Amino acid sequence: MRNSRVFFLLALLVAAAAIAWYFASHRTSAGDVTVYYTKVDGQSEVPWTISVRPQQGESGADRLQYLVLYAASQAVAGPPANLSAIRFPAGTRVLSAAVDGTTAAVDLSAEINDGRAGPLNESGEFKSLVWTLTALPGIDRVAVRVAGKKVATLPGGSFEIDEPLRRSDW
Amino acid sequence: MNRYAVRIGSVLALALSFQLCGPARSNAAENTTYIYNGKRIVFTTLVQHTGGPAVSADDPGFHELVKAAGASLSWDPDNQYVLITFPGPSIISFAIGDAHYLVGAVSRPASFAPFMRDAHAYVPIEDVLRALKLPPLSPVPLPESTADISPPPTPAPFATPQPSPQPAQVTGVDVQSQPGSVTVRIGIVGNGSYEWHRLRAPDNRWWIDVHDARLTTAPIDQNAGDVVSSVRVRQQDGDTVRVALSLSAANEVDVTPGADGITVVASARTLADAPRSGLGTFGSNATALATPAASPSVQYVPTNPRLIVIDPGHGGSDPGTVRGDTQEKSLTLDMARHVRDILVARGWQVIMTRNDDRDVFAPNDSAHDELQARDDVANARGARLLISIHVNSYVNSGPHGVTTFYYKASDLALAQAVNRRITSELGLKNNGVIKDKLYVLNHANMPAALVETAFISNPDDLALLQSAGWRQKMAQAIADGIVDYTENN
Repeated sequence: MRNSRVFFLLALLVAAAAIAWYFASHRTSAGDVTVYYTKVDGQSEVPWTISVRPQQGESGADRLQYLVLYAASQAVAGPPANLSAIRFPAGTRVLSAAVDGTTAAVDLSAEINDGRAGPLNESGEFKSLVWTLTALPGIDRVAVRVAGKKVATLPGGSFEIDEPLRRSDW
Repeated sequence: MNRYAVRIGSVLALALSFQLCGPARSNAAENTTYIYNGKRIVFTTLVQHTGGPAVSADDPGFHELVKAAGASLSWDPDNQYVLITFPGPSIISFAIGDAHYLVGAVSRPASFAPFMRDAHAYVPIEDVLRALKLPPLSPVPLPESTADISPPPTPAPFATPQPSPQPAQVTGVDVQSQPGSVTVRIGIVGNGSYEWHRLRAPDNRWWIDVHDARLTTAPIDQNAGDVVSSVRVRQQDGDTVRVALSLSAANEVDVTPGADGITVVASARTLADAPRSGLGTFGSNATALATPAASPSVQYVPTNPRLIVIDPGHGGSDPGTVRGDTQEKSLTLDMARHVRDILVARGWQVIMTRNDDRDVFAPNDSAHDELQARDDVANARGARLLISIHVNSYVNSGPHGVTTFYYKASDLALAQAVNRRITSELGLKNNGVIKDKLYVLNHANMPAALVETAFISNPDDLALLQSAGWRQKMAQAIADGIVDYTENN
């Protein structure tokens, strides 16, 4: 009788430890990324918040790296179809996104060259990207490349992108 | 242990399992046809993994399917991610070695962890199809070990968005009057940027715009004495808090940003040529970036103050925006010629960056070379100002009207003067005077403005642009605006 009671207590202890381990190992805390989309007036932004669950065991640098890629991709993907906002040319995607000090370096695919929608649209596209990435902790500027190359402006365009962009550029 | 270490470990484990199990767990690549909206899509890299079929991120059929679904597919080798991005917005992301994938912010269990094979990233195609809400590749069910795992109850690919700006907070102003000066301390929590402007007599108004900021108090109206008759604080728009001072004259105003806000000191001393604008940052980086443009020493002095440079946008190999037979380069040249003639008749010297249909630098040159060549025309001659004339366009026919752009603080008054004349003389919808980092404005040494006269993409605006009489009126308004500017600056 005494042995069975000890066994029961031991089993209870093991079960409690297993439950504690499960919750500890599966615990996540939500992190927010705010993506800013530029309204068609080119001046104001629509902020959207997305919760991005941290990966277990990831370092702060890894997480920032992931958030930059994630946030840049969301900004380039554009807002929901029912929202009137400036959008990147169809097919534009983020080829890579990296963090270098306080600079987020984003390489956009060549499809961005297909847009010929005027300076307000161009400005709004990059404003969305810069507003979004500089909202991340430690990022204050965004260096843009197109298909791996540094360019002064887009073809036929006029918005200057050869130097890292800051919010104060708008 | 960081995420990559975890994933590298998983990849190694996978590689080891392939070594041990070989063909029993993974078959050679085979072609599989998938029908999407009646279209045959062939996966050329499909392999049978123990958890289900896998397809390489480089598979042309995979790209074709994703594109047909309105999305795009990319593989980021540095970060070991396969991303499927589509407007909505939503992203589906798979990470090598991670047995969960993300649909927007929602983590879902994958049939198996994506893996590398012969330098190609393979993902569980059934999970991709499920995330895209497409029919499965085949009727074969997943193994029981994974089929039992129910997806999370939230099918939405994207978390419900909620506005959550993180602006600086303008908490209030403290106005102190001393003999001969008024000190206005603007309390701000957070980091950000500002710019200030001054209107000369008879307005004698001075204001500072705190960008990306929210006013956390009620609007403020306060009298401050002789030097500053009133201080007004408003939420100017959704992102800007404006603090405006009514000055008694062209008083000297000193702006000092700090960690907890901005201090503005207006003194009774007046300046004959007080600076009219400046900018800077406040908060933790205020010291490093404080008001470099506020110094009057940066003011441009033209070596040829009677010379105006007119830049007809585009030309030659670059038609600009086009609608049917109507090309931007022809419209801008026509309007620029009229502006030139009007200004010359008023006694100004005028140079055009181009007088006919040609590239200013060279045919099919880069945008950088072409735009710099236009700035060089004005910079090399020390012109008084530069006006660039363009025609706007948008992806749909909705937007219409005139938009005038500036970038440097010294451009603003010129842009405002031209915009004011255009809207008053032509009755166009005014889209405003907008700051925009346009190359031609940024690299012009002198005050410069770029006018997007109307939208070629809007039928009503297009009809106006095609009217020679309307273009003449537009030229007249631009010329009037230029003259207004020169008379007040």
